[in-house]
Amino acid sequence: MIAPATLLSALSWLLYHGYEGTEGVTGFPNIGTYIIFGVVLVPIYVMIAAWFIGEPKDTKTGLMGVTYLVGITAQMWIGMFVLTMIIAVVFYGGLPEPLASGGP
Amino acid sequence: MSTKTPSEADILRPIDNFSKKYFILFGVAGLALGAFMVGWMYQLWQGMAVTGLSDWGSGGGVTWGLYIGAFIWWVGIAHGGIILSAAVRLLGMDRYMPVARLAEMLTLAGLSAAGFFILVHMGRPDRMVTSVLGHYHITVNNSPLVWDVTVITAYFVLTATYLALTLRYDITRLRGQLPDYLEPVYKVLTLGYTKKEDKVIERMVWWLALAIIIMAPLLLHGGVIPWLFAVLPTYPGWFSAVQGPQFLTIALTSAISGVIILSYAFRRAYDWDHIITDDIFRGLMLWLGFFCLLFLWLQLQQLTVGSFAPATDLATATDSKFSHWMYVVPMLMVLGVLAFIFAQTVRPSLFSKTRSIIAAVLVLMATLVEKTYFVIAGFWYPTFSIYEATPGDYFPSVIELLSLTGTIGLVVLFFLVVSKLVPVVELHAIEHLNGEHGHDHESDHEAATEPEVDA
Amino acid sequence: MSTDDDSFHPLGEEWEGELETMLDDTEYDSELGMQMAQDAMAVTKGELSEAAFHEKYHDDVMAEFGEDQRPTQEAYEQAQSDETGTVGRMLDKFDGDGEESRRETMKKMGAAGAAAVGLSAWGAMDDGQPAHVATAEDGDDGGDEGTQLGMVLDLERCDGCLSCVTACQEENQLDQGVNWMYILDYEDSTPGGRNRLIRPCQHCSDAPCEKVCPTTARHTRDKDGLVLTDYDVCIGCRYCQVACPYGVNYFQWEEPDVSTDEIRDIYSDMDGDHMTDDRDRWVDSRAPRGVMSKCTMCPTRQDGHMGEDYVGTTACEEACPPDAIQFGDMNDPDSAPQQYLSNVVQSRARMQVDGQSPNMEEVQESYDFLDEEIELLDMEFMPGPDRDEIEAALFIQGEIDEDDLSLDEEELRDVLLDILDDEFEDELDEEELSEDDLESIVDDLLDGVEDGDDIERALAAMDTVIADSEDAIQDVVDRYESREITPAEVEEALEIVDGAEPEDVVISEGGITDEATAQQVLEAYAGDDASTFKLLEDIGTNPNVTYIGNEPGPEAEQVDGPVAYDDVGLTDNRKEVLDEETVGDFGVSL
Repeated sequence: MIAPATLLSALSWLLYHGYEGTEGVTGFPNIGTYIIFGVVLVPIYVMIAAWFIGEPKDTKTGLMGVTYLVGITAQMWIGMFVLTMIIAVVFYGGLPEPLASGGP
Repeated sequence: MSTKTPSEADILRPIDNFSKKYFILFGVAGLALGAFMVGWMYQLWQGMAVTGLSDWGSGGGVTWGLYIGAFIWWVGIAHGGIILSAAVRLLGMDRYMPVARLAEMLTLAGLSAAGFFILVHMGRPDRMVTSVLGHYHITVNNSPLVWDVTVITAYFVLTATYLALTLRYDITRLRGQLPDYLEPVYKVLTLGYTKKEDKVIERMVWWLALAIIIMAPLLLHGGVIPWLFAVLPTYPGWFSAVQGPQFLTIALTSAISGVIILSYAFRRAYDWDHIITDDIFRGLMLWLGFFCLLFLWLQLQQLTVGSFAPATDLATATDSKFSHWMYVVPMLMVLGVLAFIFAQTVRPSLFSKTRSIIAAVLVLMATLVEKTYFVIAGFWYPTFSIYEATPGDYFPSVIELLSLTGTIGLVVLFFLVVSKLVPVVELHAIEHLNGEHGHDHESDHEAATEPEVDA
Repeated sequence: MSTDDDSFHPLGEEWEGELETMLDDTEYDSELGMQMAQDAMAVTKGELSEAAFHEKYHDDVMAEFGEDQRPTQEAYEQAQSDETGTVGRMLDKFDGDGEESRRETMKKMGAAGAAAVGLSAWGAMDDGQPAHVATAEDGDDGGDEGTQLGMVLDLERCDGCLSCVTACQEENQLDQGVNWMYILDYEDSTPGGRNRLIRPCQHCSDAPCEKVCPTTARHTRDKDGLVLTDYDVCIGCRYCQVACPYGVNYFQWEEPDVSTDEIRDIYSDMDGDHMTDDRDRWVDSRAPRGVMSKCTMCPTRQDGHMGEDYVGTTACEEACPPDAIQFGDMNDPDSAPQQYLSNVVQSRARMQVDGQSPNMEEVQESYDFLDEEIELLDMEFMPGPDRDEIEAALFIQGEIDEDDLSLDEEELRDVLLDILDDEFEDELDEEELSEDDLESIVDDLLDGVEDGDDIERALAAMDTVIADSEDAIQDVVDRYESREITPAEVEEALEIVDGAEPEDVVISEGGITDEATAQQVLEAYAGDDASTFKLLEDIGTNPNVTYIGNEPGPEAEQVDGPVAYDDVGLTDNRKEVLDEETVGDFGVSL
């Protein structure tokens, strides 16, 4: 039986894969936490809320809007991912860590 | 000349119409892009040493140069989209409706070029996704570069969503007149469309525009981008709260200039005098003048504070501004443009589209040069300037210069392609110019019959 | 061996008594020692568990010695953990002793992460594998602040020889112009003093390079506070180089000159490849193309990969001839850098006096000779004529006989000839005498002939040799008793400021050192200027390099040093190297 400990161990490997911050310098929480999630993204929170509250509204259309947001973001980064993997294989001799093993 | 009535046929003309000029332009832009791609691939193969960059300090050079200057420049140009859309949707300046969509597309194109520069300036672009996204949950808390990536992504996505949502109205109504072979594209774009969504979408994009107008000028080009530099205390030329507002003015000037040039190009190519009227250019010029004034005003702040009784390191950095051509010439160019626009305000007959284009080009050149100067002058005059090799030497290499022409080619190609897919002027704008439907815009309704004023 | 006495020790009561006497000679509690010895015997016999033994004396040992380094600690802790149970162990995985650090760790990870982390620690303990997430400071052996490696750099001792730069370049196989360690001379507006700067990476506690890194490639290694770059993660954006106030970063703009295979070969003898550290991350030696690098303070050395001797050293520190570099744990008051810093004058004097003459031993011998407690030939220290000459002279004088002579006949003749060469130098020059004449004089001397002008002069020359020796020895003592500070007196002063009683240390009261003057002696010898500073301290980076010497002002500008980089096969300005690869170099600069 797979112990819950091992599962969570795997999860934390996925999330952190051996990397972490240095307290007070990097990692949660720091100035960026507040600036990004507390200031910069607030207009987006408000906008999405407004899509679902107030008149005239249509939840389906609101969801379509959200799907556009998520979909375009995904397409952007997945496209970027594919491009960078091609660059990796052609110019740098292989996939980057953690997809391939690192080391000299 | 413009006694024509704006029609759907007008805005559909670009689609499905291929002229010789189009192909020539496509070829030139393609060549420019291709040349840069070759250069970039050589750089990927050999390493960043092919550029004119070097380590700052004992390394005798500057570590960020034209690539980063051009990156900032393109993000600035990309702000045109939201400026125009916000003006129209939020502030009711319907006058600019005909160029709003072009401006939004310029945002997408400009951000794509900017993103390209990020990739090009990295030593290991192959790790862009795995290393940055892979550690995002840690680094977003502290790294200004990750903030940058976040907000640029957000701006791009929001603008693309805005475009996608507003295109639904146009495509649906113009479907019959659009080319058949692009049917799959239109099907996807209008998935699930019902007429009653129009009002809902109207409201949604209003909130979208609001979100973008708060985020992009104030927190992207007036926020995370200047913060890349302004938060570092050992670069006196950078370390100042004024950089947020200063960068914003640069974005605004570049953005308007980009829209002026773009609008003129399309107007000329497709005989849209009656849609993209002179009035629009007059208005854009006024705004350009205003933003140029703000730009120079904020430079004045820096020069004054940097000259009165500055600390040693700030004194050196400011001295450079007064003597280096890369700062002086752009300032004079912007001042010249401002003077002309002021004169034009006093004497409207001075206006002409050609002069507007010249003004826009001058401003774009000035902002590119000034921004590049800003970046490299940081490394020339750091606080810890003890090294003999500081200030370092730098001149953009051929590959770096090719990146400029290459990205301009990229943006041109973008428009050449997009203008064949969807209408680049909103259907709403045509309807509005014809005074067709009951919009609740109370402000200036520019009819399409205003005679052109000759210079 | 069994005895029928009461002693616990197998060797019997007499031996036990001797041990007790030895204990009495120390300043520590003999009774405690004896009790512990008794119980230790019980442990070896299996009558008492290690854990119980450890616990029984832990408080006493702490009170007596201030620390408890006994090897029974492990057993004690194991017993403790067996008692604590799983949850307790889980919580113990968080470093430190209680709520505070647990809370800090949770803050670091976020609540959800902490739950995952806590349970994964449990999971990790179950399979006995190390948790992938470092919840506690790795390898932290209990000090509140942990280890923070850093340096104390004595700018007054640096002579600009560039040995450190060369050593670093060789250790890490760096390209030309990649000067992780850098030395620069500078001119400054404030006059006086030597103006030279040793510039490694400062390994700041609040490193701006780490803060701006978008990928965590630039990070601080928890176990020892080194700021390192993970070459597998770095995207080459160069923002760390932008953010660093000191300019210590060097980007790998092109393919490095030395391949990783070559590096592996160079270090094939060691435990590891000098590139990956003990977390299995590639952080050491030169960077690969497209990635940033800087001084690492040699993490693979610290991890023991090169052998125990190299732990706690860096390549630059090892190579520095005047010992201007002290590397070690800045949080440990007993580390080399902190010891150096705690009394700079002492440290400098200690280094400067090393190997100098006449030292304490030599002066003591001189006194002994003059007090006639030893003979001339008993002395190891020969300030005057050397031993061979003295032996030969004494032999001719008849003071020693052939058995005592360490020279064989030929050597003896050669030495005598040398002495006569000096004595009859003028005659030889004017060709009144020849070498053959000298040879026959030597023959005569060996035959015991005593008559003849030349022989008399030769015998006088022998006397002179002895007299010269005695004079030289007297001279040493005179110097010691004069106002001049001899190395011996510096050594005395060092011992006195270290806490020794002057009467135990001082060779003779004729010397100038006593308790009152010891510090003055050191300051007069090594200089009393010991101002310390950190570079750009007001910027808030908290660098871990402390400098002793002159701080460069804001207008300081680099000038040429005594040794040019070109002269030692290095390059000062990297751009000269990189320009060769630039495509379309217009040859001008903005």
